[in-house]
Amino acid sequence: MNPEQQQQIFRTLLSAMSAPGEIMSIPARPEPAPLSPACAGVCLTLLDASSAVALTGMAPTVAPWLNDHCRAPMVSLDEAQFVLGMGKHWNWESSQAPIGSEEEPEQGATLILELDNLNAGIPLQLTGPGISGTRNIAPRLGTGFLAFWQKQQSQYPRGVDLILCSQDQCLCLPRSVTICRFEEA
Amino acid sequence: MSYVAVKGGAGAIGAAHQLIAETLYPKDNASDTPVDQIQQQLDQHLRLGIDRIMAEASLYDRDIAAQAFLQAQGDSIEAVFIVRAYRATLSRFLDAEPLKLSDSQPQRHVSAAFKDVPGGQQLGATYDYSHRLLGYFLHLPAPQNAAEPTTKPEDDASETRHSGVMQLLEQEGLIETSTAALTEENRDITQIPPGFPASRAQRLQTLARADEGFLLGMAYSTQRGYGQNHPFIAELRQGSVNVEITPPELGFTICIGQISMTECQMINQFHGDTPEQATFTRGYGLVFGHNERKAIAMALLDRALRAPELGEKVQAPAQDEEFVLSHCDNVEATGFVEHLKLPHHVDFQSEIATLRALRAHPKKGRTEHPDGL
Amino acid sequence: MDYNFAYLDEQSKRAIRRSLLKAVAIPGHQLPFASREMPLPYGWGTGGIQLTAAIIGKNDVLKVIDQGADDTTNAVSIRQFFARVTGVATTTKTVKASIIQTRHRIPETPLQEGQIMVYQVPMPEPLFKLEPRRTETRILHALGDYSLMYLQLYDHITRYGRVAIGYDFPVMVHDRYLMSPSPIPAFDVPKMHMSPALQIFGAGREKQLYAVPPYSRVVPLAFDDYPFAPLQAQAPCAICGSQHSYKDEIILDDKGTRQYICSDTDYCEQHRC
Repeated sequence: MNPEQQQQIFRTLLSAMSAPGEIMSIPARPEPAPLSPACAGVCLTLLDASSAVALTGMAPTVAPWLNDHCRAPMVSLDEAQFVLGMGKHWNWESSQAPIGSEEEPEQGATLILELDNLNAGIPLQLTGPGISGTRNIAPRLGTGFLAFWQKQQSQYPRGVDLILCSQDQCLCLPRSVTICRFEEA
Repeated sequence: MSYVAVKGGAGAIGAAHQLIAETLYPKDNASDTPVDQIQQQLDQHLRLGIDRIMAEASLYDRDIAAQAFLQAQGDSIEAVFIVRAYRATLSRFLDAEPLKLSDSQPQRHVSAAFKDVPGGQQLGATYDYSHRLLGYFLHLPAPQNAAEPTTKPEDDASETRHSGVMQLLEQEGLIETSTAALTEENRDITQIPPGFPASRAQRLQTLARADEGFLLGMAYSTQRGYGQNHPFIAELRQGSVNVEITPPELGFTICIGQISMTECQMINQFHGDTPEQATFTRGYGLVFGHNERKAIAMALLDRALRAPELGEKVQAPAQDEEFVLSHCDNVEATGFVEHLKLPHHVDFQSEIATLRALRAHPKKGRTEHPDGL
Repeated sequence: MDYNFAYLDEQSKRAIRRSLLKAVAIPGHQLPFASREMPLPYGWGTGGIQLTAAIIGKNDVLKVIDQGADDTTNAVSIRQFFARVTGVATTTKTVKASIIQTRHRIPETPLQEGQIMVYQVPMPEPLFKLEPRRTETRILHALGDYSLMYLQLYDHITRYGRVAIGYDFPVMVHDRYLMSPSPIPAFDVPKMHMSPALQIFGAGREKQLYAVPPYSRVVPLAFDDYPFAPLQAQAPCAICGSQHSYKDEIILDDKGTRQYICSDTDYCEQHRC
């Protein structure tokens, strides 16, 4: 992917991180990869030799693809800056991804998760920075996600940030956002 | 209208740059010396000035440094800045192998701690014992039977390398062992932002690029009681050293050139909890080119900054890592000091308005505030 | 000489981009970044320049202001730099810009969704005048302990009867981090609160960046009985007559005759029509 496409994908991510929950289309189509076009585009834009990556539950073809295209060093989950995983299999009850320290919360990892879809799950309501009023989303995330998020919120500014990918779309959930079930709101 | 003079920069900037260009490349140049020839002459006649630019820019390239020196009209900090900005655009291919300084061909090799040292004292080209008289070097008496030969006779034949003073002291257990392991901590400060506390490698890299004048003043302060220092120069060495790389596709080491370096190994006051543990401590300085002043100052500061590591109380500015490392870079310092020339009328206006408001109601706060302090 | 698009190499851009996403996720928190030496001096906007270089693309329209004006010398210099290394379109009109790099002002024209404000920051640490050590202030931010700053405000009130901070007024972001809004006048601070634009801040020499996402709470420090009260301009603009803009004070003659004109030149022009 050329630098111009990377710049366009980055700007999409920057907008998505600035507007939590808003579904955005990844503007460039990368060459075939063992990942969704959105996830592959995000990896090619953000990862390189100085970003440590961990994989959980990904197809065995993903690691060599990442090595060839991004040269990102593979590390264990607890040392990762970026974690690639499958949204429906993600173990929210016992997440091992780093959440940073009080002094360096930015060391909290970015989870890049592949999802079946971004709008057929349980309806959730978001409030917080980047949202004028409220925003409703329904990504299909595994059980325990809400409990995980609420626990993470109690540890703010420590935490992880999410980039959820499905086909050629993505949405972001930065740790600053408050999430509750839509009915509760 | 008067405000036009306050604003309106494009034309003024263009004219300002034109004025510099006319000074640098005068149209009626009588001598007509080509620029590249002037650069060559600069490197030839102002070698130490070029060395200083390369050291503070942390880029060893004599041509680029000379070009910058000329463009900066001899303002060395401006020249360092130009070379730094150029350096930031260069790709990094490989890390070189560690330099083998003890294998270097010394042009100078001096120890103040011992009368003679392995390899011999070698005075080399130095201003140290010259009289600072204008024209002094034009009227030198012809050298005959010089009491201090430029090289010791026994050295000429032998190519074997000598162990350094530090190694000899180390064998006797009189000085702390050197810890020169390459670790994760030795990250290039120009690639990854350093934090505090810094590793010693990050500290040394910062000092090696630091402003010579700043290091000199701080080092001087340690000699005057601000941060204890009882230094002896074990070895001061200046010479050319091979730069070697090992390209992975070749799998063996090749030499890609030679650079001139100045190294200072400093012995410092002893340290240890018991008589058996007491050893001398080290300070280290290493600089591009020929610059003994900076190498010595760096070694003094390195030792002063090791205070926390050696269990000493941090009392003096020179021992304060955050203070020294945050203020020693002349490109950073000059930028921020000189940025005061930029227009600040918006923030100044808000200060004037604040002060006028205060003075218009001088007693308001004191009478109204419940605590009435 | 040919330079990479936007001068920085792609690897440096990627490092800044990763940090920017984290900065947006933790509003108001300062992150270290590997600031590069730019061909413009530290203290003259290298932080803002590097952020702009990391985000800018061919379709962007760039506006650069210094002291509110597009034609102050440093704004001209930075705009020329980006015109040279990116070839993107530039504008002086706030409404037409997708990226606005600024020093010391926020435009008077309200910002819109999708716009990005890039602030040049000299000292990113809001506490630096009270505690110069980064090692100490980092701990204070971790603890959310901003009593030092409240004490200073209190001291001002007892001494002067009001908070005597005219510019770089300390603000709380998302009710968590104390943040320097950069040396903008206190007059501009309310524009940051719940702004529809993304605001990013770069300090090149200090190697720190931070961000305020759109629609975020940005609240100037104050006490209940001494609310935030930025000073208003003394007179309407001598050119456009605006009562509501921030003004430059111009000295006209040796007798000290003053005139007030809009600091935001684009706003002043729009307002005249």
